[in-house]
Amino acid sequence: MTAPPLRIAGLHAGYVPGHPILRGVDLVAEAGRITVVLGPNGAGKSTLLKVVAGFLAPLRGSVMLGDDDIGALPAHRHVALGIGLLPQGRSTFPDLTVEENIELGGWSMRNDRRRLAEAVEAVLTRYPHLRALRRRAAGSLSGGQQRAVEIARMLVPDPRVLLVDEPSVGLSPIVARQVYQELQALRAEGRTILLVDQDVRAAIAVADYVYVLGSGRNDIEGDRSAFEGDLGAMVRGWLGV
Amino acid sequence: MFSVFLIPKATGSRTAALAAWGVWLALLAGLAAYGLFGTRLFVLSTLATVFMYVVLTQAWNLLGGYGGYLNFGLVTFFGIGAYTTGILFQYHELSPFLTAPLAGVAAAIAGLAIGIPTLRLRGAYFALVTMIVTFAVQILALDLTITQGALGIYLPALPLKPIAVERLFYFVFLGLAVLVTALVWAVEHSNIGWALVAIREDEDAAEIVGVRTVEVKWAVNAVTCFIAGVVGGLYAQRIAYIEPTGTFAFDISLNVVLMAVIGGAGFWQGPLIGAPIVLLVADMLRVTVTSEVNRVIFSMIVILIALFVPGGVMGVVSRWRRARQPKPEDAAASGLPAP
Repeated sequence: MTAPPLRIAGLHAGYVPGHPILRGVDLVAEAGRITVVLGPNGAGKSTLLKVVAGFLAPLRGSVMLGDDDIGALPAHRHVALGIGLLPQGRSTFPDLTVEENIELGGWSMRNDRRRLAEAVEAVLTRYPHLRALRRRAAGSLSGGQQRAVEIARMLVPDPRVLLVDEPSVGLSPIVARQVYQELQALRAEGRTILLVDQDVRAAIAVADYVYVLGSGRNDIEGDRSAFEGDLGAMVRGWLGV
Repeated sequence: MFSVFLIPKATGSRTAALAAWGVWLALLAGLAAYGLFGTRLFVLSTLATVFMYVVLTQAWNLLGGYGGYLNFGLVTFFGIGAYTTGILFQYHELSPFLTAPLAGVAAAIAGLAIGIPTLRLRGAYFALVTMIVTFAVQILALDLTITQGALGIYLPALPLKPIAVERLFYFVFLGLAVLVTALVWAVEHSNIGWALVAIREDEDAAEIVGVRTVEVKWAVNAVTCFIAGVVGGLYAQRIAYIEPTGTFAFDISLNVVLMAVIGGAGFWQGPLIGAPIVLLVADMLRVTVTSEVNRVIFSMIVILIALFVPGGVMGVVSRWRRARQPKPEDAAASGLPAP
């Protein structure tokens, strides 16, 4: 099934009235592609993802998934539209087992236990290491293992659009590489991926298209090839040194 | 909504589970027998109070224990229930036994009105607001004409001997305790229970997986307030006099939280264990240590339990059960495919 594209137009959003963080962001995340959003601290990357994920209502502008305007929908309604979110930092249910965490990912299938069991089995087949850990409390696992649980939980309802916020924060380089590799595998399945990241080099390595935000607005954008040159110069530019 | 969500798993021996249920049922039968044949007024009265607190603590347990929302204001809804039956008797001469359900409805409406804005707050902010609301409502009860201010409202004593009155409330509160415990058990084993646990563990993650966190909290809070209101209405009839300071006493809220925490918040068994421990220890200290030092000793016991028995009695039992399970095979890798 082809994932619908995500289109953001003229998006304004913020936390304090009169002080918007996003001031007219435009963006398109196409199906089967990883669209990366980069930018210095305070550029509005995480705010952008909060709006798209339904945790923050936009002040102006639109967030369209295919033909549906999802800008005003709360986060809990996104699952039914085929949107999955991998938030920044730890988001497992720490006192619950790995198995319970993954099953809770299928909340939208709660009235169809057979379908839920099949979806959980599919995820455990995809990540066989988690099967061995399934009775462990998620909070007792390493950072990388918890990330795997979060990815598995996100995939239970088989979302076609994935919103990913700084997936490598707090992970060892090896595990971070595994996470980015997994994002590539998910792209190969035709999913739309919107990746917001601080790790410029790793994000560009997997990107199909890159947007750079500056002070809540679109700054520059282009294909990966346009950003593969002097990354150091770009970062120095952000820092103003 | 009450279908079991997660895939069923074998969680231990069936014999052990049956034995545990057998112990609870035997205890219930013993309590019912004592209610029928017991003749000591003090014991009947103390146990009736224990049952009343079991009901209140189970109600608190729904959002406080399973949902992780620390509510220090349950007495607000208990008091609203008590005043609803008091006012309905005062102005319409309706018996509190008849109007107790209305007391629950009034408390649930108040719970919704207060919960809709406050349940958007989390952690310490929510706990603080629940305390402030109690004091505000208490002041309101002191100032309003309909509540007769500090004078309070007298209700007619039941035309029965004291021991018959206590026996009656013994069974009323025992029956309610059984009903509400069954409700909490059902919630623990339902979708709502899992939604509450997910909210307690990580509310944003719960929202991400599709739980309607705000609506779940509102609904469960309304049920909690309904139960507290019914208990408050019956309490008014039991003591036959209500006034703002005693009816909205912060001690009642505090006792409920202590009972849940000591017994084990988030377990249906927790209030059944915590309520008698807290009440009986407090009563024993009151009798044996006559000065105010008994409060200091009680507080020290609570602090020691909080330090050394985190999760309460049921937390210890739960950890012991987990430790007995066979160790899972470990995996050093992240769980994701290697690069």
